[in-house]
Amino acid sequence: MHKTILSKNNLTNDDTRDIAIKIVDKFVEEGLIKNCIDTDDDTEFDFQDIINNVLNEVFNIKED
Amino acid sequence: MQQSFVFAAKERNYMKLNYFDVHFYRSCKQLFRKIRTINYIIFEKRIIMNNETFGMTFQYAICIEYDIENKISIERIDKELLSTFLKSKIIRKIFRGKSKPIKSLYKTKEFTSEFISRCPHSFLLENEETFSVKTFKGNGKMFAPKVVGQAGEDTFNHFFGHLQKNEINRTNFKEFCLENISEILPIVVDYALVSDYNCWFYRKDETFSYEIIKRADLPDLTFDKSNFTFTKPTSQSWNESNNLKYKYCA
Repeated sequence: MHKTILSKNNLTNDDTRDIAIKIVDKFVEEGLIKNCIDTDDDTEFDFQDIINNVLNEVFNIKED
Repeated sequence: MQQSFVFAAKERNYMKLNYFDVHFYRSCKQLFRKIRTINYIIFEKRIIMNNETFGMTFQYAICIEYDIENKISIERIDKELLSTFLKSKIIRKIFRGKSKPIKSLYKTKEFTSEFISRCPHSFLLENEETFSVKTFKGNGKMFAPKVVGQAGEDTFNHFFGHLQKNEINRTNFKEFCLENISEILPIVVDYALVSDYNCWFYRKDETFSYEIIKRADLPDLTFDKSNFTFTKPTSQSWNESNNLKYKYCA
């Protein structure tokens, strides 16, 4: 995935969201964030959205 | 008009597979008739808390107001916010004209099944209707519907497997979504408004507002497949997430 994103000229919200998802997955693998599969817990989404929003701010990307 | 939905297919290399995350933009409320929105300037100072604490405190306040036994831990609530809720009389306003809550469904086994491990509703009302609470923070516009929003492989096949002959798995999941989106979305939307009354709070800085969306107001939604577009229209171009847009006539 990272090669595809880095080769692009312009990042999109889809790209930053994909990055955020990868980061959250790593946090879950390391046990730093609770695995929310088959739950109604929004923790993973909360982390994902924060990372996504920060990346969008840094790269000046507007959501679709 | 156009509505946007975000599908995220998360893939992990561990035994647990998280296939299907659905984000609904808050703007999808335009599909449903809004009942009531009241803006409250209620915080005298900025209170920093997460959505869970806000939601649990509100549920606890309902229990206090209506003298309802519950399993909410006192450590999970914010006492200052609780006092604010009770003094503001917002709870009486919310339930005015509706059947009153008589039972907290938090941590109960009611409305659960093999594939629904937690009760998706917050309260049972006197007329046996259900009521639930959802909190959005800041400009937060997205949420995953209960039950199906973060489905693992078995759960996903239970709720969506009837839409195709073969079992849905890591290999065919993306194609399945691309091909069957018009049948998938009504099921997802159904669980977005899972209770008879769905109270959505919107928090921003020192204020919050709310609206109550009735499940009975949900129109019969029939999606025309030709009106869908994906930002990643093929399984090859779809990495982790996909942005789904739907064009409809208001």
